[in-house]
Amino acid sequence: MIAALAVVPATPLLLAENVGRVDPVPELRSAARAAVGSVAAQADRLVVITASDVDPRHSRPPLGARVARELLPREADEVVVVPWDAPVDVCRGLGSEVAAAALDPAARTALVVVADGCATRTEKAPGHLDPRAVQVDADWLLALGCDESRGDLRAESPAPMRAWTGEELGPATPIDPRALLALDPGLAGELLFHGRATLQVLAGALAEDDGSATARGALTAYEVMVGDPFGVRYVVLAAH
Amino acid sequence: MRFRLGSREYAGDARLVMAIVNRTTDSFYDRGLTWEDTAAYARVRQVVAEGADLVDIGGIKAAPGAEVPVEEELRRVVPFVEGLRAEFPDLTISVDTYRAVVADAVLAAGADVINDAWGGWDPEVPAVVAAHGAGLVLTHTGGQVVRTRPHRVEYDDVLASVVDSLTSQAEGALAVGVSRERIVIDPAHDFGKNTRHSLECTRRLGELVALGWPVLVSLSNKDFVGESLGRDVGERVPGTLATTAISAWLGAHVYRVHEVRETRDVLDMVSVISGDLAPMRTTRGLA
Repeated sequence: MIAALAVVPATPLLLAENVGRVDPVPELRSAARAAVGSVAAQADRLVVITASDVDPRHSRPPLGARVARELLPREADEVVVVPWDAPVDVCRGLGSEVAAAALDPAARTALVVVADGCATRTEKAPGHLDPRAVQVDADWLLALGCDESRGDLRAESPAPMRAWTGEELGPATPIDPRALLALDPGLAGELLFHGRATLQVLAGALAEDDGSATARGALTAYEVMVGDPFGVRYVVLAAH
Repeated sequence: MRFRLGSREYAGDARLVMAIVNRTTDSFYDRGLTWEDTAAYARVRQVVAEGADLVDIGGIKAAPGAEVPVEEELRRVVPFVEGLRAEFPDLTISVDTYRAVVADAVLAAGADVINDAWGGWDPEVPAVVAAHGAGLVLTHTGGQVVRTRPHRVEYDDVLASVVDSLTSQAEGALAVGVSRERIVIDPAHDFGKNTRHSLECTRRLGELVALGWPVLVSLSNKDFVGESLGRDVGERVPGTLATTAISAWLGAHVYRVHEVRETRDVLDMVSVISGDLAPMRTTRGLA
């Protein structure tokens, strides 16, 4: 069974090799480590899901796989790498395979999803400013059960990493695979929304045939940190 | 290679800033700027804040000028050392003097290092340093009389003279009990040297570093920089910093300077380029 889920961004800032004398993302790093560590501690099997690199000029594993390896207390049992531009049905199919491999009710599987949102949230963002990014990021975060329209959660970009309290998260809402599967690959490509395919693999792992959440995949977020300090939407989330 | 200055221990890849604090009325660069107590203490507070690793206090200008008797030199530096030691318990304090009696007094007052800038002119200095367990900077002057200018000095090989002199001074210091890890060597640019000599000492600094002692260089705003560029005192900071960068790349360890903040940045930049120091904070292309 799929018992737990962690979502962390695929930023190379989380790799130790990129830390200088001053850590540019101390809150992100500690939250990501805590989220991944807490779900790993509950699991018999660890499955990492991430996307291929958009512009690989190297022969290393994809960035998301290296970030997961750095954050995880042990090696993952399986690493699923989806092409970053895979069509929705391919993502969903990969997700179904993840679900099938996790059917054994006696083996608790934790998913570590390494994915981030749009890299076009500010003028200084990697992809410059695209005003459509805010809504797209809000959509996928809402699909994960976190509503940015509540209270003052919708911050001006760039926003430092900030943990959302239980009160801000509101009533627990299970992850909605159907909404994740509705993310548009074309628009995601334009917004440098690198995590789109990865999130749709997650959706495939949690969805019934009609796209609704399955009993095995009714995960609910309980720890969430969100920000875009460099114009890229980072989400750290733990769910069970 | 490891070495010690004051209470600190350093590795061979250390690049340290030694801030000049003159208690003189007539030094060539600052012209009495820190003669008064208030200004001198303010200068130390500032250089510590700017990242100096140690200070070098001098009571007598290097160039020829008014005679400073022992009693006057003591009056200029001893109370200051005592005051600094009280205010900065961990700061490494060096005193630039060629007199053993002054060295003894400042070490008793809390100094950590004697910068014997006139090449062992007073042969008693190493024994005094040894008796206090302190550090000692050895310098090459080619036998120049204290506070005199070189005039028509020639060497067959200036670097060979530097190496011979400093090696023999280091052996002598060890023999009288100075701790091996507290000996520093300085080719002493401009001391007993014309500009070409000082440039050769810079170009071939690697040969000095290869001796295995920590190397101090005192380049700050000196004549060899000015003559190299045709720049008067007051216009020599870029030339000084370029010489600092080259010296750092060639492996020198301690930089005796007027401009602390600029030197700190130059040394840290060299350390980052060489891979001895991580960059401060990197996010470019990594978000």
